[in-house]
Amino acid sequence: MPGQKLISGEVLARHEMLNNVAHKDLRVITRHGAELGDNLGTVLTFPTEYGDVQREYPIFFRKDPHNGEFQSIALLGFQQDENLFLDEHGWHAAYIPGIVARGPFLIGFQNQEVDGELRREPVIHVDLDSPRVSTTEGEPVFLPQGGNTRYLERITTILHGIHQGLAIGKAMFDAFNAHDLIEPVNVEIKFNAEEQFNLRGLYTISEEKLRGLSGEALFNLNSAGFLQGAFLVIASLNNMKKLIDMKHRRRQQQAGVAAAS
Amino acid sequence: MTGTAQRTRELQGYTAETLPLEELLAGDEPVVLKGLVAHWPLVQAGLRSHHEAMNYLRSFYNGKTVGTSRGDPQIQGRLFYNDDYTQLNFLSQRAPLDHVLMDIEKHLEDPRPPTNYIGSTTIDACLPGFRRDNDVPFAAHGYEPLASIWIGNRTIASCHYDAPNNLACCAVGRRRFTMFPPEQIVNLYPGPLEPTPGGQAVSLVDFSNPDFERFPRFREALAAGQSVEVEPGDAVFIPSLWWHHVEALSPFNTLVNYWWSTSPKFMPSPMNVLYHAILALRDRPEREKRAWQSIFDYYVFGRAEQAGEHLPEQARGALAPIDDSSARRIRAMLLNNLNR
Repeated sequence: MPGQKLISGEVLARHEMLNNVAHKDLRVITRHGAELGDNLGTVLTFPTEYGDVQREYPIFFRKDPHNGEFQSIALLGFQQDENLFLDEHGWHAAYIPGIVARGPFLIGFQNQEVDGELRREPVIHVDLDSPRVSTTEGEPVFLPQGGNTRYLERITTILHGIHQGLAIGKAMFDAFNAHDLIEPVNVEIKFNAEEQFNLRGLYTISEEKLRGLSGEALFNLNSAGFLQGAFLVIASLNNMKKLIDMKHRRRQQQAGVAAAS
Repeated sequence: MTGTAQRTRELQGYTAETLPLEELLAGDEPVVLKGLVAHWPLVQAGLRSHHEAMNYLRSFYNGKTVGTSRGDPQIQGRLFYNDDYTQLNFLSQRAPLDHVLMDIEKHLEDPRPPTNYIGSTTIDACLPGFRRDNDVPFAAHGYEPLASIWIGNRTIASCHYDAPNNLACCAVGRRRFTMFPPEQIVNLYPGPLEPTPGGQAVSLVDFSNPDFERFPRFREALAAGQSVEVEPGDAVFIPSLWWHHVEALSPFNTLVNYWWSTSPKFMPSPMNVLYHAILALRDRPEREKRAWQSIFDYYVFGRAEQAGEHLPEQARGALAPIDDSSARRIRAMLLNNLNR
């Protein structure tokens, strides 16, 4: 049922199944800015995009507060609402994580009957309450006669990657756990006596345990496609230095602005 | 029931193993094969009692939900529309197969039972192993049909056509088939393309009480139609695209049917062509429509070779016989061209 849903007095997000009649004039603002909800210290990421993500961002694991299962995150800043890649000119990185690049779109599921059998088919939903949703500015979602724009095709690919990444991530963490490869990590960064950050609840791959794996264990991890993921997570930690430098520059800029005013 | 002019041709003495499939396909008319599947354990169980037939089905059931239809007693088994044809007159939901059997069983003696129906359900998905002893060996003819089961009390599948060929095997209960050749479409007053009670547009005519004022041409359909009542163990061959109206007449009925196409897999459903033609052609000026009619006759409805045969082979493109590769190229072109 489309439209606003009221449950016990609370207004829930308006998620509608995307279609080219109801949403024919839909446009999406694709630029990045704090006003569009992009000032995030962490975002979810998925093994399907580790290759791109590890070139820009440190990848960590953390436990999903809802079910205690591991998930992957990309670190963008040292506070909840600090995205060091974001300024008034946009998001400065060669790759935007899929969970952000998907804009206001989500994966929904629709039960479809095929030859008398029920199948759960993924479909695209749109969050009409997203600040990115517009009819006057941004990328059109549909072509003038209702066909799919390249933008929508790109979104479909991104959502597909997230959908697959969720399933692959689960299998990957099962394999990492089976080999006891995940270890907690304390991230402590001290800029001065007043300003220091302790990031808690993060985990990473134990390099020591990874080195100590038997040939057979390595073979199995590699055949399942997860060994590369483990190395990409380790490699991504080189980005911590970049992130600290970005934080230094931002503090200096802010100090400069404060001194000038 | 207002009768059709003819009774469907009947053949005696065939079994599932000796099914004369190529002759049936060449004949292009419905045929009843008396007792074709009379040896099936399900048929034998049903001849003993409805309960035995139900228990036999239950013995294969794997617990998966199936698509069910339930209607009030007043619809009298006619799975159809509400008064303005915008909604269906029954409730569709996924439910366990044995719940439906239980409900049918509860109302076996009831003269006005609620309508309970499980339409076209893939047998192997819910009754694994059933086909080991209850099957028609199509593989011997080189076909891989879709084998489905239909379970219900007194129900009416309103007159419709299906794109594939159909071998409908009456396993439990009696059924009446009323059938019309494809060109009778104009005399059958088809309903909306969607929603539909069972996936295909159905005739709006109430066969049990035809309204000849609203549907005068239905008399012509009856004159061109044929019907037959079949018993457990009989099978009906319905050629592809023939209209058929099927009434299940007993308090409990089960039908097993096979749908198969003789066309290669790369051919998409002609319904796509129909929808596209409605979009692209139907509302053009009359003169242009007639011109397109000639063009379609030339390229599509005439002899398959006619548009290509005067061209050198290497210049024929889509006018040459279609194979897997050219089908892929045309599909890609259509996908691209339609995305506007």
